[in-house]
Amino acid sequence: MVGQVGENISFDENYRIRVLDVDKYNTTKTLQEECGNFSQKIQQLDGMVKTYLEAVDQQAKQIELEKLKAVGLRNAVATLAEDRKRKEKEVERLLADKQQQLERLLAEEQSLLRVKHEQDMLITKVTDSSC
Amino acid sequence: MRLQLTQPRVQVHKELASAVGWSISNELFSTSDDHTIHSWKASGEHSGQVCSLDAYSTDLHWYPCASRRQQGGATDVLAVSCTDGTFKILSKSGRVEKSVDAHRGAVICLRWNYEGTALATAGEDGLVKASTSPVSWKAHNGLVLRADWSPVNDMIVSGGEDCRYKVWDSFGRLLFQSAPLDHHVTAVAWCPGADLFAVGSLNHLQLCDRSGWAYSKESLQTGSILSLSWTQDGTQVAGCGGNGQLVFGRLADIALEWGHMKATLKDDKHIRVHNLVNETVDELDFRDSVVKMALGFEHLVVATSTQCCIYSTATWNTPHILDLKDTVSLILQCQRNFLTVDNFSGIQICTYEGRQVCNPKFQGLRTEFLSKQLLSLSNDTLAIVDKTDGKTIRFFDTAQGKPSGDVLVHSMDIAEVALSQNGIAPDRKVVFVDRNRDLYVRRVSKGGALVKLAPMVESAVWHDTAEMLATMTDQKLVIWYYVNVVFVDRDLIASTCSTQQEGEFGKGAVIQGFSGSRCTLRRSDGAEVAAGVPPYPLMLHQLVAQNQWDRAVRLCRFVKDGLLWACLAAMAVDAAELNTAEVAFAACEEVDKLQQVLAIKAIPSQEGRSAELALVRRCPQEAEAILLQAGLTYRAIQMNIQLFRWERALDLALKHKTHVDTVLLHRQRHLAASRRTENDPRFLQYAQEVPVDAAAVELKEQQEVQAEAQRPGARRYV
Repeated sequence: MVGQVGENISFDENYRIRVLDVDKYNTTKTLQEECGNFSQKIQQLDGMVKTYLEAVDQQAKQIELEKLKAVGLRNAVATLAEDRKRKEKEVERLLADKQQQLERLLAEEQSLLRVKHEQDMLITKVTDSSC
Repeated sequence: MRLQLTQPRVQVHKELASAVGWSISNELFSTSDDHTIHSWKASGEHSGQVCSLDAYSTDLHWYPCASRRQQGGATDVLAVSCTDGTFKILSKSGRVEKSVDAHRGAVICLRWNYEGTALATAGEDGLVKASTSPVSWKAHNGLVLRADWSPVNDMIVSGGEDCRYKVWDSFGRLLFQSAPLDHHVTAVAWCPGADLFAVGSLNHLQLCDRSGWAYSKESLQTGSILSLSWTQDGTQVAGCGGNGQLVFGRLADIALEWGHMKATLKDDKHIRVHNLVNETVDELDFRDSVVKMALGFEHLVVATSTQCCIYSTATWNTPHILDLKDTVSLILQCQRNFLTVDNFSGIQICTYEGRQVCNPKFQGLRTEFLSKQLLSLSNDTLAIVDKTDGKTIRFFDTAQGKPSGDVLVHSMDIAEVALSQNGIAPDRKVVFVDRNRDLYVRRVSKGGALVKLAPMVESAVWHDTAEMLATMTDQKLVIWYYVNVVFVDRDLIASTCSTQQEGEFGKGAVIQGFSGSRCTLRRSDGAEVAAGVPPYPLMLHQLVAQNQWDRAVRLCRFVKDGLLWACLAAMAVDAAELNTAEVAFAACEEVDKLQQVLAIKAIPSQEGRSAELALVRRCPQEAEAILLQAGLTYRAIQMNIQLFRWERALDLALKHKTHVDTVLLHRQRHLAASRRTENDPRFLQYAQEVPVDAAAVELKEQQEVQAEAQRPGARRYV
């Protein structure tokens, strides 16, 4: 009985009494090591997933931005026609305005030319009869 | 002319800006749907928030204050209308002095009356409070969005959802209708002088002449312009838009022309003067902003906000400078002097040397209602239409500023008045156009008769050196070459005026000026056109003014024109120049008048001739007075007999105890010729008392004629 007890009892490196069986102890130890390795690997994986996710998010954001830009551009293109129409109208109005001013000036010029013509006639008349 | 626009860079109002209003000291207040009122400087700089209200405000209007000088605590207030049915009176600092519950629903707009004694409000409940007798008419196809009335020319401008603006007179007659704009017309406002108005629409502001055509059109980024307001001096307009933005517009490029000079207001402190003959350009700079300017009679008069500078067109270096007390609203010029009108010192007449001559005044003078249509200046006389009844013209002499001549009271409102520019005070004539567009002429001096010259006259302008008048009558330009003919011989009126056949001026053309041998007109589409006037009448006027009758006759012979001969005939009769009159009447084939002139020439005495000339002018009273004063009793009696004024002839004969039988004899012959019997009791009585012997009477008459020829001082006409 004592011998059996004695068989199970051993000393470790620090000369402390160990009750657990050596084999068991060794298995446990390796298990512990492997567990440590595993968790480390899992952590590594986690980190990698995280960076991956971040990259994906960034990409998504960029895509979203580009999408918006595209929508904006599409809208701009759609309104461009209208805008052009508006601008055209504005230019047309400006043209009509200038045309009106031109007509006014033409009328003025014409009347002045008529007056000049009358005066020329008068001058010829006066000079002719004085000859 | 155009508007120089500035838009503040900062967006102050977060919401739609609903109304703007200028204070007398040229500070702009704007109110908005963000519940705030902000103030702005005239340059367009934002000066700060005045106050915030607890309701949406819809309109604001400053208390009307005619003059900077009358400005004070009590008058420095503005009224603001709110959507909660109240209107508030605010002080300049933004303190709410009073809040009045006026309407159920929102108060939409409000206005002070011109005196500032009453405030009219219009509410969403459909009520207008404190209004007077209304006249209504259908003005637009669609909602009328805004209207403005000018007290100066009694015209209304309105704008509506049919995208048009229209100009009306106060009786509801349409004067102008615009072509449709792109968008609804949301704001209209008369300039204080009523020469211009501004029209606002979506992103659009335009400046229009009072006759409706547009000087300039501007594109903006303000949204719909919801309110427009002019400064008191009429140089700046501000508008507020639907997006809360404000816009400031200053009048620029105002061009004036006179002879070969052209003055252009480039911006508020800078005038450029062109001399078109020697092609020189002068730049004039001013310390303060220019309010009004006038060019004419060899002088340029510029009124800035503090000074009046008088330049001679000969030299632009040394102006005469006058200090001004208030903002000038009008400058008028004539040959010798000019006048300025402001609301503090009234009408000031000054010489071109910068000396103030006088300050004409009368009870009820309202300078804020005066316009150049209602005021006319000549070298010796000033004519003002009294706006208290609108039918009276008052005359003042320009030397002392005292009333002169007869006050002219007409039966109808007077729309335009003009004084002749040539000659001396006794020759001064006034023409005016009344509300019915009839043209009348009168002498300014006392006892002048009023004569209607023409109907349907749109405008009338005197020539600047001669007694000629240009009128737009029934869309035609009519030149009256010698207006005095009205007072000389009315038969000659038709032959001394001519209608210009050439040149289409259309409806509503206004004469701008008449000088030299040219008349300038502004057509209703805004084109300034010139019309030539023959130069001969002007030369004739000059020759006659220098008493060179023989040269005048030679001129007429050279031109061979009936019109010129008729003018000369009338001038000669007026000046008692009988030989010239004889030639002229013979040339224009007026046989009866020729005979009359020959008969007058045969009269031996000077007084007899002038009496006969007075008869030609249709002034029998004057003729009789001349004869009686000269002691020519027989001639006076004979004149009355010839005019069939039997009673007067008999009275004179009895009074001077002579020629009673002559009167009776002529009366008997006249009755016998017309186959009637005597029924006048006085003549019956004297026919019994006085024996009538035909032979004796004829002998007496011959003796009288001989006696007249032998009077001392009696000379035959040569």
